[in-house]
Amino acid sequence: MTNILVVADIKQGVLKGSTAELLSKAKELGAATAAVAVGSNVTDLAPQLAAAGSDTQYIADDPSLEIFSAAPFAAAVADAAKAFNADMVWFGFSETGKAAAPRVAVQLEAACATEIIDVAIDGDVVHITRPAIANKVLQKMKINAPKLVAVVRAGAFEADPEVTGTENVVTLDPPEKDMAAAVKELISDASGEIDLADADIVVSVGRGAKDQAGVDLVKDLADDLAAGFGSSRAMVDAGLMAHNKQVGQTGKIVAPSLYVAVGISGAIQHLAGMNGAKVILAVNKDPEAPIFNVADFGIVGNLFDVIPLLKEEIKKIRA
Amino acid sequence: MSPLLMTVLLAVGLGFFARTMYQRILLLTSLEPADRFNRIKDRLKNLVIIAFGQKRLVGRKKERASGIMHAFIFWGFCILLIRSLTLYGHGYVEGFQLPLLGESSFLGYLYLALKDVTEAVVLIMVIYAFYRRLVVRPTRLHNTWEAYLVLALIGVLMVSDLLFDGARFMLITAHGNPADLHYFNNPTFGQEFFWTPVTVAAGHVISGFSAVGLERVMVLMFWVHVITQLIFLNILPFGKHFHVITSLPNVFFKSLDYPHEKIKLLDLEDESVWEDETLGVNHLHQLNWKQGLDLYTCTECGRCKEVCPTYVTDKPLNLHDFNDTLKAELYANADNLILRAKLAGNLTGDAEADAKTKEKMAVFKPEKALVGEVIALDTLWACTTCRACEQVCPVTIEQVPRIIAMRQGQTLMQGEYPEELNTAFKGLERNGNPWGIGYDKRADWAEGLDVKLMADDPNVEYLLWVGCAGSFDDRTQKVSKALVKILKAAGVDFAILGTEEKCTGDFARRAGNEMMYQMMATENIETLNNYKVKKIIAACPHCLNTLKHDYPQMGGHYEVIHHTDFINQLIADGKIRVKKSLGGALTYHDPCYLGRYNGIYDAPRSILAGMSNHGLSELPRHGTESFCCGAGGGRMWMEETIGTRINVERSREIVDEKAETVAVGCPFCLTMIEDGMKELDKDEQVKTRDIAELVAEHLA
Repeated sequence: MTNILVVADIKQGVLKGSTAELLSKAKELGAATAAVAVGSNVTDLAPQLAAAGSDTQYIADDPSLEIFSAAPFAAAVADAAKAFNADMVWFGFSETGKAAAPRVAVQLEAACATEIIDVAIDGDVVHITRPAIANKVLQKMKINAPKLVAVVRAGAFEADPEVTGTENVVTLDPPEKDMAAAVKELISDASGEIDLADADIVVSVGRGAKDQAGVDLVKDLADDLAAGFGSSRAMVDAGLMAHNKQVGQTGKIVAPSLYVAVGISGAIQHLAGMNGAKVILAVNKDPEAPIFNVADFGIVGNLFDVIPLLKEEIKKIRA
Repeated sequence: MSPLLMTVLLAVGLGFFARTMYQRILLLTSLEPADRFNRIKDRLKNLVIIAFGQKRLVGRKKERASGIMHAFIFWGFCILLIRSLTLYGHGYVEGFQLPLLGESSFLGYLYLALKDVTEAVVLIMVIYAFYRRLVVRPTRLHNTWEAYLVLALIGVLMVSDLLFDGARFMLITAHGNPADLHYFNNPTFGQEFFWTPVTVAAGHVISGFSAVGLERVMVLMFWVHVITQLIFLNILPFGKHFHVITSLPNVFFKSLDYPHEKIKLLDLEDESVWEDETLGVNHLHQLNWKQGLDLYTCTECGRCKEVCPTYVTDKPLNLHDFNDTLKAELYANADNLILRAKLAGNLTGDAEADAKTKEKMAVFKPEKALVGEVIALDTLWACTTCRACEQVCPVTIEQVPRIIAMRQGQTLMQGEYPEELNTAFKGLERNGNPWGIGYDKRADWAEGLDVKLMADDPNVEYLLWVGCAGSFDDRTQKVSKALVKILKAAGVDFAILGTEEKCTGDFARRAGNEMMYQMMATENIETLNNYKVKKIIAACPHCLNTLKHDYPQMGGHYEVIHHTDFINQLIADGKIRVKKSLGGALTYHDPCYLGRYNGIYDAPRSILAGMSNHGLSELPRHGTESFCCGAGGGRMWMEETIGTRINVERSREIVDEKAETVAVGCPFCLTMIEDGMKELDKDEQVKTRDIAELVAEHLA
């Protein structure tokens, strides 16, 4: 039987959905599952981790772990992996995962694979699948090392609500402090808005919104959808949006499940930043706007008429 | 006058000058080589037209007054140089004359007259220059004490010589020549002073002096003149007036054929270049001697910044400061650079022996990093490579190649470049276009248009080079389609490469990413040469420029024609007819890479004039002085966060001209200006159209 350790993805004390997705997949593969939570005040998350499908919960809970630092984080994960005798360690796709995974792999003398979208176990042999050459091909790899540390691409697996685990908490000693580097402070975007790169839905506003009132209207829609709020370059230039909200060739490149382009004509510089979205919905008064060439769904109309209707419909569906 | 004093003055004055010049020249020889000694005839031609003819000073309408002023001072200097030699001789032998210019020759009299008028003219020009600096105060000028000092010295030179001769005149004519002074006197040509009205007038100014007084004035003015001249000569190399000496050679050594030095084809395979950091310009000593001479020659006239799209829109690139800063750095490190070059001469090619030499050479590194500390990053990356600065520079300084070489250093060696470029580079690497759109979609625009592919018919006469924008950008695809319509109407036998075409690499090269450029160029040239392509119609001036001027360096030799040139020829040959049915006020925006880089100004105008029933009105900044749209030099793929937007500035100019249609001939210009119009909320009133679109619409 394969032992799979899933690293809990915790952001500001909250367990992210990807942890359950990974645990569900591990169970589906028939593996023995464990989860490891590293951080400060994370002991309370143990029942949630159990509910999400882990049968053992390794907890490294220490005030020194409050601010993420790759070395101690990786050390704690490696400790858990050794205690669990894990054959595989899975990280969800996050900056912390990307930073810690190679370190864990080195400590476990394991292979390391990033951005994987599928795992198959055939007896003792593990195969992984991951995209390559700018998503043009899928690469299937056989892992020759006895152990594997993997970073799973966002949305690769689905959480199975039927899956549950049992609570069996193992407390780990806090890892030694990293002598080479100490993270003193974490400075984050204070707006509390959803990060565009992480967001599953992105709503972007363009020139069509004209002014602050227009921006606010579209922002409301984004909030209703719990979406990241982006914009075209014109709105940044106009001073209506911050530069870090700009989606496009010279701004952020996003690939959400749903991209809603409101009042954006779809110049190629903008398309280059969002044409990787799974589903694109465009709202524009100009039926000739190039955004409709890439949109899966289009609404031709004035956004000041369309957005309130959309919001109402969303409310109805939710109710 | 006094052979001893003259000898001392000349020895000190010329000796010190020779020493300074030796140092300056030695510094140039310590820089990288540049091959500028070929084609002497063409170089002399440039020298005559640009330097002696003062083409860029007198030639610009906008600057004509100051241009004429400068030209007269310059020509005056040329004429008075002969006078100076005569005066040096005069120091030894009273009445000394140069061969052919003596009193027995008509030439001697002619020269006297010329010299006389010239001194008056130069004096008037100096007064005008003072007036300009003190009262008119053009913004482009740096009002430094040096400028006033030099003007004052020139004034002193003119006045002292006029008074010297004036005193001679009075002594000879009014006082019976008591000192037995020499003067021209010939039975045929008459007396010297008939030829020199200004001198006579100057003489009358001091007519109140006694004979003794006049003699003193004469002697005093003589030495004042000679000493001032030697001081003048010696301060020249220490400031911006070095151009008095260096501008002639600088023009002589200017680039031929291509408007500036072509970007060097870097050998990326050579491993030592990575170790020695010799890709691009990372250090001062990597400038070549011509670039050093450019710096010596910069006159700080500020014409470059006045026409610079980045300076006008408040970006930190101020070319005259850029030059000044580099020049100061060059001088500050002169000794080290010279020592370093000496050591470099000892390199043998033997790795072990060279390692020691290189170690020693490293000691002579300047304290400050060339880019980052001497030249700020924002300054370096602001440039759109539009060449407006080079086009107006009276002394033909080549700014752009230097900037690109520094970018090469940053991009290749330091990995330091605006991060937005990464997306475009990645797109190029993976899909052959800066947006990174699937390469397989490159020919989608041509679906249903019945356009041949090279693969199907490699024997066609012309290859239509579509370019990335024309292939992928929804807006520019309309231009490609229009062009196809025109070519078909004219019965031109052409094909496209389809998915085999890739970005030419223009922007990558100008952003300093030579590696990416060479990758693109190698693949494209292989494709083109495989099909034995000879003639290419390019729908983008950037593609045109790269195909035409960059690719020959790598073995790609084609006849490349811009679509406006081609269309103009089709009309001239009667292959297509265009109706004169374009209504509304029409203007034309010259793309930099079409105009300033490739000299195509007339073809677009001739097409437009032929179809507009309102005629073509010119923008204030047009032709060689067209104002960049802001997208060249890789700027299309970078964020413009400092100052105001260049495209909006240009669009405003177009709006102010009350144009209803602005014609362009470049996809970048099309995007930028149309975007600027949207920004100004004028996109309904002013339509931005490529010339191909207009022609296709008005085909008879």
